[in-house]
Amino acid sequence: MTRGYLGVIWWFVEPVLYMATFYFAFAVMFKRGEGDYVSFLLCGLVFWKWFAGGVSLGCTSLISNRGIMRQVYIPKYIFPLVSVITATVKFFMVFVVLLIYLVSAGYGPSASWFWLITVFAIQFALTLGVAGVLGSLVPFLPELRGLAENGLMLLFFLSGIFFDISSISRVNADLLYLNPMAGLIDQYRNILLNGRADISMLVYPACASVILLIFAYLLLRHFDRQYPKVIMS
Amino acid sequence: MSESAIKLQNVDVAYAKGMRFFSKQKIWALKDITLDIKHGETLGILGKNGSGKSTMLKLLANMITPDRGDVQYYAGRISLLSLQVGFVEYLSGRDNAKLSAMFLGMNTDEIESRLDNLIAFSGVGDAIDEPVSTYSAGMRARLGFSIALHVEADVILVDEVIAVGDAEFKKVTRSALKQKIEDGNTAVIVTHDFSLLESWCDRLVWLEKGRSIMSGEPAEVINNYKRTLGIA
Repeated sequence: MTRGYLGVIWWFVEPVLYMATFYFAFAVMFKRGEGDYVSFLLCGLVFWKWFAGGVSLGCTSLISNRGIMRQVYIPKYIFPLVSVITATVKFFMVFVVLLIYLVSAGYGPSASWFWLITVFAIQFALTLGVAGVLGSLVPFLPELRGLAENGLMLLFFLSGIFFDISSISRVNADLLYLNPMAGLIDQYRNILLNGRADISMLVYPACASVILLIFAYLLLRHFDRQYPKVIMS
Repeated sequence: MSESAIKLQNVDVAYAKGMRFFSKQKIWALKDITLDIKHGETLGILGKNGSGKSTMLKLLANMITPDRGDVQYYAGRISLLSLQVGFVEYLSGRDNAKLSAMFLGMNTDEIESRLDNLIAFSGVGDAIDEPVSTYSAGMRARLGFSIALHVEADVILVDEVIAVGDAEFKKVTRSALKQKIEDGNTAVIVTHDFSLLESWCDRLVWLEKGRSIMSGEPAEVINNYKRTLGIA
């Protein structure tokens, strides 16, 4: 999986640059450094990038693999799955960097960090569910891809990456928590920065993920042998 | 010889027209096709551009389902040899060969045991470890053909590839395919090469606008086909 001049190293460099951009903008330029805003921000960004990366790869996964699809029969859920696994491998490389940063910033490891495994599992399922549903429909509705990119942008600002959702008015917060990523990011912060997990907050994201996964599987199975007819070169 | 490999019963295949998701309008690529391909048989498909030949191969390869009618697959692995080979551009030729073989259901041991022959036949040499994106069109065709040939398939579907490559490669591919056919492999061949169809095939099917308008002895079908084209 090595494209470009730097190959696999780029997997590492790109997200670090991405994080550095936000660090520069918020901690250096706007002097939002007080109360450790940087750690707060990074704990949102890193996990969001995993989700957004998996979804946008998965969105086009069927179209970009049309060559293989026309050569041999493959169950189509493989394509979004590969996309999300790729995004996950990239994520774990960045996650290691984040952990090093957090520990050096004074957030020591705690027993509650084991809860991360559960949150990871939910986010993986959520990403695959969304990627699968979008990926299954994009071959029929190519415009959906642009719509999804803009939707991701909107959610990027509404998932509580830049602010603490629980600090805004109750009604608005409830609305924002409809987005499962908002609840997940809250829990990542809770676990990594405060050393405790609020498990009840994971119930809704988990249920949403399972429903999306089932939906994605049914769609991909239903259209399984339609795609080679629909996707033209 | 009398056992069926693939059986089509009154099969219709349609493509949606225009706005693909909501459109109820359809273009019928295959209409009312009934065909029984026997084990060990070599079947040729003849027809003008747009007559449904490629759709027929996709259907036989079990990639699409018919909109009406019934298809029964009795054969195991079905390998499609076509010009538009599904390579992953940034993987090496070697990895692409392994991947394709895996997709066709071969296990790692089977693949490893054939890989050396496969690479030697393809003639791409040391470039086998370079990304496929650096290959010339000829190298791609050679590698694609070599993969399809070395995969142990029950049915080989050949889509117009026999005319690819330089004279030397054409000769090699033809004799390799011929060998497969003589070994008793089931094959379906699409080509406009009349002499090849006549000498290799047991039976020809002539497609016209998605319908099978004639099927039978190669020489007879070809003569009729030539007559309608006005070249006999």
